[in-house]
Amino acid sequence: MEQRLEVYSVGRLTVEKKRKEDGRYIYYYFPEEDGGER
Amino acid sequence: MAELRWNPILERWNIVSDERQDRPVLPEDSCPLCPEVLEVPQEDYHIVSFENRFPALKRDPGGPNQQGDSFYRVRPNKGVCEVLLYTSDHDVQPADISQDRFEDLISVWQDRFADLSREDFVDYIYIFENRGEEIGVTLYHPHGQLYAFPFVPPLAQKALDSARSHYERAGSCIYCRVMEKEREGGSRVIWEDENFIAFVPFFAHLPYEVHLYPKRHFPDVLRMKDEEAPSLAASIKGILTMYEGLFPVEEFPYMMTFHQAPVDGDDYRYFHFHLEFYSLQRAKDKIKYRAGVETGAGTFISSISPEKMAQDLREAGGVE
Repeated sequence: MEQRLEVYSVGRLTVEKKRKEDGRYIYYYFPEEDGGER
Repeated sequence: MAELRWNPILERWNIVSDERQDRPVLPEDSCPLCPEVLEVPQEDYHIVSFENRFPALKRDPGGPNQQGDSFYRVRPNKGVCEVLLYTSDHDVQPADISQDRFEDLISVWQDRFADLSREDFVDYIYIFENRGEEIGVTLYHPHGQLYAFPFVPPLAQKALDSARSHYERAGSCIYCRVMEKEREGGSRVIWEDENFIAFVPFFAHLPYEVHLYPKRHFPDVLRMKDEEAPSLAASIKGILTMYEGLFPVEEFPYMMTFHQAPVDGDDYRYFHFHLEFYSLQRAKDKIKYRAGVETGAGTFISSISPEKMAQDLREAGGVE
């Protein structure tokens, strides 16, 4: 299970910063019109 | 065992990271970069960046395994290595990625650069892509990488030293001068619009080497203007399309590398952001090997002239 840390925007993308169970960071970038939590 | 070891003769850091020996190499059963397999537990994704499972540089590296001294210096391998997934589509060729997605990728490169440049242990951010088995890729899925180094790597340092020396001597940018020289004859120019120019440089040292410069002088991807990003996206896509059309091989092997100013807080106004692309494929069935002269002497022998490479690339891309 990934832990959600932060949400912000860059360009036309929304970014979700999460932490994996093993501690590594992962960043999801998706078009803003998609919206919603991943 | 993982640490940085100093080469006092060539004055450069080498990375020792023996756990990278355990990386999967071209797995046939499933791709760890596809959705819901290993690294991305989502049913689909647009673009993702994550810290490498087998990093050469780590945020929390622990102490060095070897005891160093003032001559044989040793440092922890502190830094960050990330993997950037361009798309969830495992089979798409990079040249076929849409213009919109390349523009989104530029936003991702900018965001990762901005974020990592704020880390006090990071001195230099190197964005790159390896493509093709000949280059040594371990996974086929379309992806790039990023290394956030705790030092400025040696080739970047050499280029910075030349750029600074030229700036102090001539009062101008060495890369702007190269661009001026390439535009004079134009025989090595392969792509150009109002913001970017791509050419095989006069001094190309690897097969089908291409340099891609912004016409405006700025030091890193973060300083690019919004209106310049579509040009960068179109030019990368154009170069990859030329590569794809060059030889009838299943997957044209190439490296795409970003060259940017360090993020260590010093003044690098003399540096000019650009990308460099290289291949090892010198003909349909011939590979350029990095052999004794290249590896031991550091001198590269090119069996194709830069002018011929440019002509081949223009023809492959259907450029007049």
